[in-house]
Amino acid sequence: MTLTDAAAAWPALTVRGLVKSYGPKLAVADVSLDVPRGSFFGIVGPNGAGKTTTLRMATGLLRPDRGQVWVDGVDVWADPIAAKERIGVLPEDLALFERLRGRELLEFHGLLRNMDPAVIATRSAQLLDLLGLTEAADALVVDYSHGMRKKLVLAAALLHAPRLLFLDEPFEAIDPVSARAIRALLEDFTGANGTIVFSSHVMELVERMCDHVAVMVQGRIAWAGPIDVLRAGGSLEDAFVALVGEPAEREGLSWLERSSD
Amino acid sequence: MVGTFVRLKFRLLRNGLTLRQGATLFALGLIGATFLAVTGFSILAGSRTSEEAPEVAIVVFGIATLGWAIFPVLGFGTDETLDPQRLATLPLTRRQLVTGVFAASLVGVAPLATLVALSGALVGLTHSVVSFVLIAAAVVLSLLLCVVASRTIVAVMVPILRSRRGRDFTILAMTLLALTPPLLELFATRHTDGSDFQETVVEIADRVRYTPFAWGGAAAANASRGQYASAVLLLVAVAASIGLLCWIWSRSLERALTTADPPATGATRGRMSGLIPPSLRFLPHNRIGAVAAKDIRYFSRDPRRRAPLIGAMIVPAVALFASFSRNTEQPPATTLLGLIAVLPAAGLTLNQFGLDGAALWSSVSAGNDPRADLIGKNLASLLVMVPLAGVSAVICAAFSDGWAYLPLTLGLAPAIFGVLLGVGDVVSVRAPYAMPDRRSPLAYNPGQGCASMLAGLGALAVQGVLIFPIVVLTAALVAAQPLAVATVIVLVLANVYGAFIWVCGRNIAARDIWWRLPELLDAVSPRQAG
Repeated sequence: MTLTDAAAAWPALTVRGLVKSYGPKLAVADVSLDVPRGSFFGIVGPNGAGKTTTLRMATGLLRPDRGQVWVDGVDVWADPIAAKERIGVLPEDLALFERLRGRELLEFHGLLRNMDPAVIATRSAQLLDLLGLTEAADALVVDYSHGMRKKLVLAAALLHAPRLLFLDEPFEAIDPVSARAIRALLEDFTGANGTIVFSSHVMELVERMCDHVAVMVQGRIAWAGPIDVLRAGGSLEDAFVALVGEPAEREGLSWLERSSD
Repeated sequence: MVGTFVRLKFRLLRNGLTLRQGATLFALGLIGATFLAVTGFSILAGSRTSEEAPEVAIVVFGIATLGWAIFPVLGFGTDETLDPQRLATLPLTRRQLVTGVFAASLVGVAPLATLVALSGALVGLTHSVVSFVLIAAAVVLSLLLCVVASRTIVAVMVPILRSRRGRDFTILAMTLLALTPPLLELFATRHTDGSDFQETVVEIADRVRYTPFAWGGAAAANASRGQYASAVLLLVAVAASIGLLCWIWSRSLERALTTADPPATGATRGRMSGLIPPSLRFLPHNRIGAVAAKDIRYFSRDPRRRAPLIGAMIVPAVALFASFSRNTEQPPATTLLGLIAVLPAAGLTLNQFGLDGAALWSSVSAGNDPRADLIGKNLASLLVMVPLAGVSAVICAAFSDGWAYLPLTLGLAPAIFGVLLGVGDVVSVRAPYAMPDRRSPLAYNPGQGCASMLAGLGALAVQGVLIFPIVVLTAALVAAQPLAVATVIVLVLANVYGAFIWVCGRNIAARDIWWRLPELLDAVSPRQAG
């Protein structure tokens, strides 16, 4: 997909003033972000910080109470069709049509986007091969392991060659060999000027892969920008803990100590 | 150790009550259990004046034991103390585990209800102090037998129940079980006149008297008749069965705890043909075709959708059977009964997105096109249900020799289905709700409240009202015109009408939901249990 000049002036993703509350609980409180084109953008934060809610609102799956989201300058909530053509999504809960076989599910996702059947077949075969799913491609998804499901959804998210990928905890429950394959795939994607926004708890991964990072705490962005600036020579974990706040000093569990005999 | 298990069970019951859906479930269970307890007690106690009281006891005790043996298998996963896997990491001996879980199983609404129901025998059968003691022993031992039998069967079947196919089977079995009462009623009214009901009870009692299920009841019956020695013997037999079941239970418990879940089946038999089956090559290769093909695949692979299909075959059979049981000669118009096959599908049309559940996100994130989604879904229903109605019409025609009515019947099916789908589409987007979780057939979802049910009933009524003109038109024309003429006119008018209702309903629904897809997704996603 080529970009018009007008769209090229926009960042890949622009978020302004997103707010979402569930009853009295404010899940996301006034989040604004700019994700530069071609960047590998990590959203980190403790459990319950609002990462998943933010990603769902940015992808058009959950309506925000307030705020706006633009993908390549297209308003996700005003022109959902044009916005959704540009994005691929790997949601956290991985709810799938489990009674389809792996290959059928990819075909389903492709046809939902009215893609050419021949293109779907070629790309599916390549993605399944790259992610090590070829052997399981003809098994029902209900029989897949968690890691296999994650890889399959990733394949479905990439099938239509989106410009922007949203990945919610993509490396959770993935074995090291598959993780390496996925990393290579994602690096190719950003290398081709694609943009990736992903959430994770794993600091080492974010540190290794991301060039930009946003730290979310209690529904707000505590810090956002190039990862090197946040780290300032130290580790991401130290910078993260400094932002989030360390738990209070506590006594050790003395009874866990054993004598050596 | 036994105390810990019993306290755990009490704690689970109490914590379950603090959840909103837990309380609703508990209330439903309580109502059902009270009903069964009162029914059982009054049947047993009320038989005191009847000569067949002992036979009644045998049947009631037998039904109670059989029910205990069957139901927990179907409801696997609904009781947290049921799955021994949850206790696997605790350093417990097998004896501790078995006695603990056994004791915990005796705590609950169902055991209490069973105890109350069976206690009716103390009122209905006691004639002396000795018989009172023996019958009391029979009641207690029967309750123990019920509990240990259900636990043993679950433990033995854990490997099957844990597999996907096993769970699929239980969902299917549950649905078919729901169909049995009308069938039984039909047989009952056909084979008995009501006056010889007691004769039937005696007949059943004679047959089951010597099966382990009824030993407790037989002991009570013999005690009531003064045959104390045989009563004691039967009680010993019940106690021995309990011992034997405990032994089998503890053996299978150990096996269940140390065996892994069956691995995912990687290889699949048969040729892989892609999402759209070869027989449906005419489906378009776009969003409509994808949704239709997916739904058709689901009709054959998902037990929740397969069940109504089986219902679609059974319901016309029942209707036909009922009509035959009244008269021997069938009018040729009986062929029209085949149309009843589409009625079970009426329920399926009312929550079409609910059947997709949380997986609907893939459609929502792939662009907003609810019109294509609805057409695809409707197409799938039509392609599955209309042939079913056709098969059922052919069967009805064969029985009543009503072949002349076959074209009319086959032609009316799509018209009626158009009306059902038109209303169903609107209700599907206006009152969507989350379906129970696939893992447990008895799982209950909050959100599927009274409102959705009322909307569903209202929709069924609207469907009925809108189908009515077709019925009137058909009846009037068939009566006034030669059949061939009537058939042609009815088919043209009815199908134009059905198509009109469908297009209207679908357009209203698609326009209605276009901006509200995230809300639809939220409504059909089952809540995480919390």
